[in-house]
Amino acid sequence: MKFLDRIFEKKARELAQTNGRRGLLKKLGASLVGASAIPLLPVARAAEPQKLPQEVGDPGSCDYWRYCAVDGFLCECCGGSTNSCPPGTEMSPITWIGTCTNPVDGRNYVISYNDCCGKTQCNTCLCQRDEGDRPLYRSDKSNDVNWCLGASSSVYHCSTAIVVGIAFDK
Amino acid sequence: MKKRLINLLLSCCVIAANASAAETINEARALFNYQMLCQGCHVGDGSGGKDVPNLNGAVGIFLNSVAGREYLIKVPGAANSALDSKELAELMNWMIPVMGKDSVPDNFVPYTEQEVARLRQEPLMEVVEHRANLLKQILAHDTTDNTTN
Repeated sequence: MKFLDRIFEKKARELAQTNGRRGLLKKLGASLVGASAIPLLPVARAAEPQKLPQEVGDPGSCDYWRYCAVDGFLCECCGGSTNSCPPGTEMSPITWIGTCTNPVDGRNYVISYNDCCGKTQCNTCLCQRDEGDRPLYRSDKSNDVNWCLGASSSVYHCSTAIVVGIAFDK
Repeated sequence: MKKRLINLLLSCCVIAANASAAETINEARALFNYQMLCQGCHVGDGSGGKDVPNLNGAVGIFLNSVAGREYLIKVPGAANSALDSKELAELMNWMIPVMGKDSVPDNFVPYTEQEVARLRQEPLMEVVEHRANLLKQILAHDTTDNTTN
């Protein structure tokens, strides 16, 4: 054991003679500041997950920005939300998708109007704004389709309005 | 010798420029076009759903035959889309490796605008039956290859 003690003592003294305590603090400080600056670099920012748009308005009102192309009952008023279905219903994965302008940043966002299915119509907060709605012969861009055809029950209950991306400015 | 080296370098540059011109993909635009025109049925990760074919880890299998390659453009969702042929080629060239993953053959050659423009003039009418036959042929060919190897 004395042998080990001597080795550690010798090494500790050598270290103390060649490296000052201030030097250690300087290096430690520099690495801390450096590490905290990395997220400011553009590379790190580009790797961040896409941020949701800033919100304004009442999701229980037809005027809410995400509902620019909605045609149906708002899940927000039916026990669900703009992003989720009310309990006891199933979200249809098949849906129609459009874009709406966010009034806060003025950018267009891609909105997925997934229907919630499996219970009779919610009958609350009926909204019909139809911006960008196309006739049934362009079925992928028509909100008159019963999109519950993609769910296990085709009974329509209400509509969500989920932000799935930012529109590409052409 | 020096002249030959310069010529070689120049020809390499020309080849590289041609390849990048044919395969340039604007990922943000391709993703947006996928979201607007495909995602409604094929869903965000391409996995599809009830009666909607799965693209995820699967779409590349059609590239194992000429008829299969043509099918991916002749299928109504592609052929009748609102995109022009240049953006449709871009969307397909982006989507196939991103969604198709390991199903995409190593020798996949990206679609060109001209190829897409030609193929989409003949959109399919009987899609389900045609698709089933294509898959049967491709899988049978795979089995034959495996047994001969």
